[in-house]
Amino acid sequence: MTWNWRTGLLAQARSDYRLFRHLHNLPNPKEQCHRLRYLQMATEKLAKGLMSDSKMPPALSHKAFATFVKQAHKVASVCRECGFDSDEKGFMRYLQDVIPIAEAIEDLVPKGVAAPNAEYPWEERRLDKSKSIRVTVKVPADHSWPEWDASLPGVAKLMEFLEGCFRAVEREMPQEAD
Amino acid sequence: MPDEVSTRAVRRDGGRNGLVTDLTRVARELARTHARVERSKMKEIWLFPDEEEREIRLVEVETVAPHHEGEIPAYRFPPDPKSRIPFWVAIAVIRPEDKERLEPPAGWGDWSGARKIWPEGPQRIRRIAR
Repeated sequence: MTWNWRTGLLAQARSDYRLFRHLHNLPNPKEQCHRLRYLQMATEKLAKGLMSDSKMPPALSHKAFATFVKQAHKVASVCRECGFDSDEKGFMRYLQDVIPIAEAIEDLVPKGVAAPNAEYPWEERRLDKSKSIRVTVKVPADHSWPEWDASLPGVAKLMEFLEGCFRAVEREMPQEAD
Repeated sequence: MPDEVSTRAVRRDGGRNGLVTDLTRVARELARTHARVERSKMKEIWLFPDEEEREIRLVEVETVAPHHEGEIPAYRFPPDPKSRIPFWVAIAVIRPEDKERLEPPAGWGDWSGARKIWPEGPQRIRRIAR
């Protein structure tokens, strides 16, 4: 198989997304961190792939998905596969509901010792009653993840959006990679 | 982030009532939470039955949703004890005009078995007014 930056990123995004789906029935709800980690990786590469010109390597920043969601209405294949073929304005309104949760997923990457993330333990610092700083270490596999709560209004739309994006990727891949 | 507010709303209510285990009650609370945030777009929320009472099955009818063909796709989310949702939740989103046209997700039965849980009926409104 011959890849370029675009198809390479999309192929890896597709594989990450398969893993995310495969981990659907983890018995312990607290282990959602593993699904979220694959979701973060899949969405980052999906965004970078769909915004790639095939030649230039992607930026090193992990931030790409929320930016892509804000621009996705301009990508005809995604618009079509998400069921908004001739309704770009409708798709823009739909994407407004996806943006907050896309930003939350983007924030799941490790970034320093004090920020919650889906991969490494982090620490919380609080003042106790004696005004001294108390440090507590938190573990991703022992954390409840509000970013992945069914009560979030945008969460079903995010899943639907991703399915549409990956349908667009499937249509593109056989033509681009041989 | 507005979504965090809605999550807390479910948790707060769950905390007041203790552990919420009744599927319909949790489904109604979930529906209210979603409708509160998406009030301008949300038209109806339907609860489909699960004989084993393991899964909350919602079809949300919104003015802004993709066009589907054939069967409505649903997306499933695992139970989250911390948000007081001790059930699997499956959610599908459709447009109002697609409700008559599309089949519910596989295994959910047909529309005749579904109950509209949002907007809530006159009984609920009377209770609040009292």
